[in-house]
Amino acid sequence: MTARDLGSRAAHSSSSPDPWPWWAWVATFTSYVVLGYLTKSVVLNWIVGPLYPVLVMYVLPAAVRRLLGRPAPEAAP
Amino acid sequence: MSWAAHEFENYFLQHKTGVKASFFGLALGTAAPDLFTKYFVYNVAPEDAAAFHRGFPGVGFSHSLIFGVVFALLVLRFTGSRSWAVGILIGQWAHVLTDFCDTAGDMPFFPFSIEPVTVSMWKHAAAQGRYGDAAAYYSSLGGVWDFFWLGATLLFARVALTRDYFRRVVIPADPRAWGWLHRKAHLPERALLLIYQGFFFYGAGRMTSWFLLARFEERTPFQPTWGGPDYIGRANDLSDAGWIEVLARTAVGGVLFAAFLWVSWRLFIKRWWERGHDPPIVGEREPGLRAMFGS
Repeated sequence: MTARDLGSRAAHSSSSPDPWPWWAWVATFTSYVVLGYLTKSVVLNWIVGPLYPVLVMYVLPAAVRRLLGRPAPEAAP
Repeated sequence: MSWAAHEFENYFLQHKTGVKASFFGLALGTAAPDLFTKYFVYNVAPEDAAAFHRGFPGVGFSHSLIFGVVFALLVLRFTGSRSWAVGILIGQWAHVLTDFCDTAGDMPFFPFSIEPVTVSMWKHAAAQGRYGDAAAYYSSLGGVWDFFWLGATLLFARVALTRDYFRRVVIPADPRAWGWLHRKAHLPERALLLIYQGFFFYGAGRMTSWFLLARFEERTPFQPTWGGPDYIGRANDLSDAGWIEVLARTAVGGVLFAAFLWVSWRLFIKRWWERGHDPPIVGEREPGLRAMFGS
């Protein structure tokens, strides 16, 4: 997908559900709160905090898939 | 000071501005006053943290409306992006207005008035250090204030958190920044959506973590009373002026600030604004406040 595709998708979007199931959010949130409680400033800061969902829900699974040599799922873009 | 409220404000404001403000601009604006000062508040002047953070002399100018104007103008001048300038201005002003609530207050019309304005709902506790500050905040009405913003966002701006809104409004309002992230970081749309929703996540997450830390590690008493928490002994109002004096000085400061803005608009801001550019979806901006609010 190119940057132009991104803009085109934005301009011609129709109603669509969020791509992440509720349990993924609950698991990510719980892990963040536990890590926040245990490590405080390590994750409770302006950089790691907002990026935590993309790191845990997208980057980490993608890295694991790559390590295992599995293809990316054919899920929503 | 407010904590997670500043993250929730981003979505509330995005919902009000629609395509006329960049989300990254809003997020930078709401974070800017503390982003530039918190380190110094906790590490350089911890003993007189409230006066240093919100007063003059100190870094209190960061919590004034003119700081948002200057920051937004610099961005407008050097990038030409109206969406970023509007986002930064509205975000920073929202931060200033939200921070009225603690005992230190802030100086909205600095330098035309250096009288702090406050409603003293909870104690400014930066003198306790970062963790003590967090524990005090989440033991006071400050924590309730965060919860109020969480509820207000979910009740009145929930649509701004959806994928559909992200596609329809947030990306078209700032296609360059999102496109750059997409290209350079090789992130598909669903990963970009996580970055967008990440600020809400961070607000809710840190609110919960700090609340639990206050209860079970710092073991501070939960005292959500006006001006609390009571266990922080000394209130830190930066001024002993009565409310009439505060009102008069602030009114004069407000008039002078408005006059300053008007003269600056005539002298150079209008020229910079007209030279600026917008994403195609914005079209022709209407005059007045409609240039910044409404889709």
